[in-house]
Order: sequence, then structure tokens, then C-alpha cells
Amino acid sequence: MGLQSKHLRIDHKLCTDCGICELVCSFMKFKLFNPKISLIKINYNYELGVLERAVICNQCGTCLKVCPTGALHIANGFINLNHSICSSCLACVEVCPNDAFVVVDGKPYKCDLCGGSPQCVKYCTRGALNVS
Amino acid sequence: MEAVLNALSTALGVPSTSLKGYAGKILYVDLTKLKYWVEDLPTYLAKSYVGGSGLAAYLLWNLIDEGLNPLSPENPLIVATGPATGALAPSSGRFAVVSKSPLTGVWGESHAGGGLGPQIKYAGYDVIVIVGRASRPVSLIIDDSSIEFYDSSSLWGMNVRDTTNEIRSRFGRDYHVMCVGPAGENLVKYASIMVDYYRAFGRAGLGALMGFKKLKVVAVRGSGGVEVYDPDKYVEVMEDILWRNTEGPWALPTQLSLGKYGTSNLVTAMNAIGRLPTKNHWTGYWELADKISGEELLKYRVSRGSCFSCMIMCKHVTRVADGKYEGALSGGPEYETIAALGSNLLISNMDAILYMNYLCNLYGLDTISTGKVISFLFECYENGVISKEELNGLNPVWGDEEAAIELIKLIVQRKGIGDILAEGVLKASEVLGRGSKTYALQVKGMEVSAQDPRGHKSVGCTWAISVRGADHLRSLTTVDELGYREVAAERFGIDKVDDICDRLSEKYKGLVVKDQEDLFALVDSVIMCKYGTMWPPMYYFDFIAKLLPPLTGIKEFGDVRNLRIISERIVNLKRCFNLREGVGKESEKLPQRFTSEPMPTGPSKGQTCNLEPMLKEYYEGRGWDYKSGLPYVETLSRLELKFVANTLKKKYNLPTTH
Repeated sequence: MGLQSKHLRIDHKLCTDCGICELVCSFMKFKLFNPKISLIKINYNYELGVLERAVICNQCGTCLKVCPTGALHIANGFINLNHSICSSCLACVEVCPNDAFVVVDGKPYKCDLCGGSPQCVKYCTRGALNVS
Repeated sequence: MEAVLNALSTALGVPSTSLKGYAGKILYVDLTKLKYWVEDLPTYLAKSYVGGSGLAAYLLWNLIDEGLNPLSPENPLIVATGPATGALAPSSGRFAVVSKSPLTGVWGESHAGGGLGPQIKYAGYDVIVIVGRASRPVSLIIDDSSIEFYDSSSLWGMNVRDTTNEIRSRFGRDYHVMCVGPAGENLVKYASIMVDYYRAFGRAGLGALMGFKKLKVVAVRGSGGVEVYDPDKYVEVMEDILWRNTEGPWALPTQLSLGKYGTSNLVTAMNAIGRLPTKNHWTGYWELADKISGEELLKYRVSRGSCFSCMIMCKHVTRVADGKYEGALSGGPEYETIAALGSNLLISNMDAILYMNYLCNLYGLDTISTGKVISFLFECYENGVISKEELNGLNPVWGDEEAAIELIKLIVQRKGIGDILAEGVLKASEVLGRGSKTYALQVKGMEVSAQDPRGHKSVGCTWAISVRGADHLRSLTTVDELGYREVAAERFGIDKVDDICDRLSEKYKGLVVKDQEDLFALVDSVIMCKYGTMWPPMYYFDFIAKLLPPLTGIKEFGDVRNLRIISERIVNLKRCFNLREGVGKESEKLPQRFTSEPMPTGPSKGQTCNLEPMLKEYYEGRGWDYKSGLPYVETLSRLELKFVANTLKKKYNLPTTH
């Protein structure tokens, strides 16, 4: 487990593949409804009704070690990305073991738990998502 | 055809590139020439018809002339999304397919859930219009602006599951897939188009049109997004949606019924009020209903699922774990399917119902029409219309699941009696003759859905006036059925509450049905689901007036009066489409079972449906002349449908109000 004890988690049994977490995430981050650039991704097998994988940042800290500018840093207990000093080298994207980074217009983005109030958790009416 | 389409788009004003919510493009595909082109969505059309089935109605009216055989290359398959599609509006994963119906020869419209509709928007299109007919099987593979015609000779004959798997393994698992199975290929007139394995464009036989076009698959993935006009304001709408689904007055009832059981919860509820179709709708009550209840279905559930962007989440995957039907894995069955293939056939073995649902989903058959076609044959057989010898030894007696399963296979393969039944109950009864029409339960050639106008009077009006034939999804109301007094008072005035909330009274039901048909015309254009708008009555015109302006930037959508005018415009255009085909008031009648045979048993015992007063009230509310069955010229003018009036005037003497 990573540096931080708390991170976004998903209960595989409760997820129904509604995709609302992806919609909310892309909208809150990019003002656009587009699951492809969501910072959480749901890979659901709807033929069998099984959540196969959720792409979620587990705050493991691997990206912190490779960031050359210090753009990635810990704030409020979570790993944040300060775009003003990010060089867009994308080293973090390559090293992330969870594929949790998204690149938009050449810049990396990652889940920062919306500053401590994750909107995907708020809009997950099944309670499948939580921070613990 | 191309020239007509080009003329259409240049005549209608500026493109809608400035509009948000919409993709702003229409993709045209010609299967005969294997070519495609993209045109801008004119702003005028968005403002006048919103999107979805409203926009498709405008396109269909203009693209074809009266009298066209539905199974013609010129009959377009219009796949339509709405401004809400893919934009986190309530239960907005649904999308529409519109065409002239191969089953009925009139307005054909069907909606399905799953995840494909939003992908069309993300790929950059509001609507896909597919014309022509390929010379050999083909699939349409859409990846943003890349459009591929994929030779699908090897997929022809394949079932829905294998086809979907084949496409996804070849092109990528992020493709969403709609396809036809063998039923569509064999032009079964109630073939469905299946989406993402288990969601169905069930009604109106649009799968037969897709099969006729030799179009096996439409697969789409998109990487673009849906933009919002006023994000800050839209967050407020999202908060409202969340509140309604978690804390609002309908949240708990919705989760305890639709959430927990899906639509199967209705089996018990409908039996309790005496309108569960039983024995080809002979009665509305079945002593064995508990065996096919929502509670029973939970034993088969593999998982609870959802369409894209839905907080109700009424879907599920089910599986038969052992026994004769072991391994039958599918989505559903929904209430309509359980009723059509269960109580309607007196089949109480849930394993068998799940197996038949599994077969229909694999072959691509509408479960509603399939069940009613089979019950038609069962009743014909019971009454000596057809003999065992004529059926090659088949013994179709009530409750016989093996006969029902065999009939499904015969229908798909169009073998023996299956070839006759594949045409639907109306045509089958015309072929069989011998008084079989009495058992053919249909309106406009479409088999009736799982309600009963004797136990819920407004259903009679709903079925009769429905533009696609006997069906619940154009205007079924629950305010009267379940006696929602507050909702009735808000919508229709306190003085009418007692009558409206009496499901066994015809009074004011024409008014209620007209109002619901208007609402659904808008809902089907936005596009949202009937869950949330039919039951529970959680969203109404006022909500849509809050939703659309910050999403699209079209301020006029914020005025409920304008939304109501748009709704009426769409309803009138669809009704006039049927009139242009020569199908009008004379088609708005019910099978005599519901008007002349009193309900024999159960809570609605003794009831019949008196359609005429409801129809009169409906026509008055619509601004149509009851006597001639035609719209008043003034009504069409008020709704800016003069182009429709001009066409109809060539055929009819349109009445005026003075």
C-alpha cells in the first residue's frame, strides 16, 4: 500500500456501471461530459454483470518520486498536481502503476479527490465509492 | 435521395455549431452506395423539435413519401439522441430508432437503454440517418469521424451475443454495439434491434428493417464530449437531480421497487389491481402470480445493473443455475416479458420464462409481440381454429412451455406455422381466418402490451391513440392507476382529483392521456427514460424547463408554455404522419375483448372499457375534430405545421374551427 492510508475505493459488488462517477469527474475537472477524460474509469463487463476493474488513484506515491519539478506534492493528505510548475514531461504518467493519469492537451491530470470532497463519491447513489 | 437530403439541410437556416448540449451534426449513411456524409444540425430544428424522436419525426416526414413499403431501401433507419444524452441528465442513457414500421406500416419508434446512445454524441453526432440497402451484409463501425463499412457476411446468421462479442473483440471492447439477430435477418415483423447484448429496441419491428438493409451491426465509440452552455447553473440542476434520487419524496419508493426488483415488481402490483395479462388477456388476475413475481426473480439475479447515466438502476443480469434451462444468462426479464411469456401463457415456471427471454434476446425478437403471438395461437388452438395436424404435431395448450419455446424457434426460422406468426397477430389472423381475429389482440397491427383497459381505463385511450399501435410507452399514466392525488391536483386542478384518481372511471382520462402523450413526446426528444417520468412522476415539464437552458443555451426551452407547444407539435406531426398514410381515427379502436367481454375474475371483475368518451375528450384537448378524425387547420397553424397541413389538404378536407 502507498504512502497515504486514505484513498478512493470502490465496492465491486455495489457498482452498477451507471458511469455517473466518470461523468461527474470529467465535468467537475474539465467542464465537459466525457468519460474518456475522467480521472476514474470503470471497466464493467455488462455481458456478465461484473465490474472487472476500476482505474482509481490509490495515492501510492510512485509519481512523487519521478516528478522533476515538484509539481506533484502532498497537500491535505492527498497527492496534488500544481500545473503552474508542471513541465509536462509526463514521467508520472509513464510510471503510474494504476494508469490513473489522464493527458489532456499535453498536460497530465490526476485525481486529487476534489480537494477532499470527491464529487464522484457524492454522486454515487449506490454508495459503491468511498474514501477510506 | 441525396439531393433531397441536401436540399433539406440548406433550406433550414444556420448550423447549430453555437449550440451546447448538442453535437451539432447529422451523419447520413447510404448503404446502397456505401458512402456517408455529415451535415450541420440546423438551429431551427433544434429549437422546434428539440432532438430525439421529435427531430426524427421531422426528418422522416420529409425523407419519405406516403405509401412507401416499409421494407424499401428508401425507408430510413433514423438513430437519434437528444440534447440530454451523455450529459448526466436523469436516466438519459436511452436513445431512439425511428422509421416507418415494418410491423404496422405506420409511425415506427422504439427506444433502448445501455451505453450506445451517449457514444453517438461523444463521436460527434446527434442523429444517424441510414438509407439504402447493402448488396451484402455489412456493419457500420463508427469511431469519431472514421466511418467503416465492414463486410459482415461471416456474421450473418449469428446470434446477438456472438455478434456483439465478435465486433468488440475485433474492434475494441470500448465499442458499444447494436445489432440484429436471425429474427431481423429473416424479416420477422417484430424483430428487435438489440443494444449491448440485452437492451432492446423492441417494438415496431425495426430489426426487420435493419435486416432488410443487410445492416448487421452499428458499433460506435466516441472520444469527444458534450459541452454545457452554463456549467455553474448546470451544477444546480445536477444537485436537484441528486436530491430527487436520494432525499426527495420519490427516492425511497423508487429504490424499494424499481431499484430492488426492477420492473418485475409490477407483476404483484398489477395482479393486485386486476390487470395482469392472463391467458391472452382473458382476465387480469392469476392465482399463480406469486410464482413469477419480482421476489421470485431475485433468486436468479447475478447482478444489479444500470443504463448509462441513471440513478434508478432498474436493470439486472439473471441466470438459470440448474435444471433443463441451466446456463440461460441474459438481461431482464422485464415486467412486460414476464407477463407476455408467463401469465399470458399460463406458464408459471420461472426457469422457462427466463429461458424464453434468453432466446428472444439472442435471436432479436420483441418479447411483447412474441408472447402475444404465441398466446394468440394457444387460444386459436383451444377454440379449434387450427388443428394439431396443421401444426405438424405441435400441441400448443395453455401452460405448455415446450410448445412456446418451439414456437419461438419456428417464428425465428419462419418454418411452418412460424412463418405465418412471424407477420404478427393481425396478418396471421387474416391468413388463418376462421374467426381467429377475435383472439388477435392488437391496435394498428401492433400486439397489445401488458396492461388491461378494463382494470385501468385510461389504458384504453392510450392504446387507441398511440401512433405506433397498442402500446404503453406513448402515454401510459400512473397518476390515475395509483391514485396520486397531489400530482393529479397539481397537474389538472383540485376539482378533478376524485375522478382522475379512480382508475375504473373513464372521466377526464382523455385529458390525462393527452397531457401524458405531450410529456412523453418531449421526454422522448430530450431524451430521458419513462422511469422518472411515467413512474414515479418525479420529472414533469417544469423540470425539463430547468434542465435544457443551461445545457443548450436555448433560452426558449426555459418557458414551460413553449415546451408544451413543442410537445404538441411533435405529437401532431407523428399523428399526421399516420394520416398521410391514410391511417386515422378508424384505427383508434380496441379489441372487443376489452370493450365487450367483462373482466371475468379478480379485482377488476365485471369491468369493460368505454373508449368513446375518452376519445372525444382527447380529440377536444388535441384540437382535432372528433367527427372527421382530422386536425383543425388552426391547430396545425398554431403549431407551425403549415407544411403538414399543405400536404394533408391534398388528401383530406381539413376542418376549421369556425
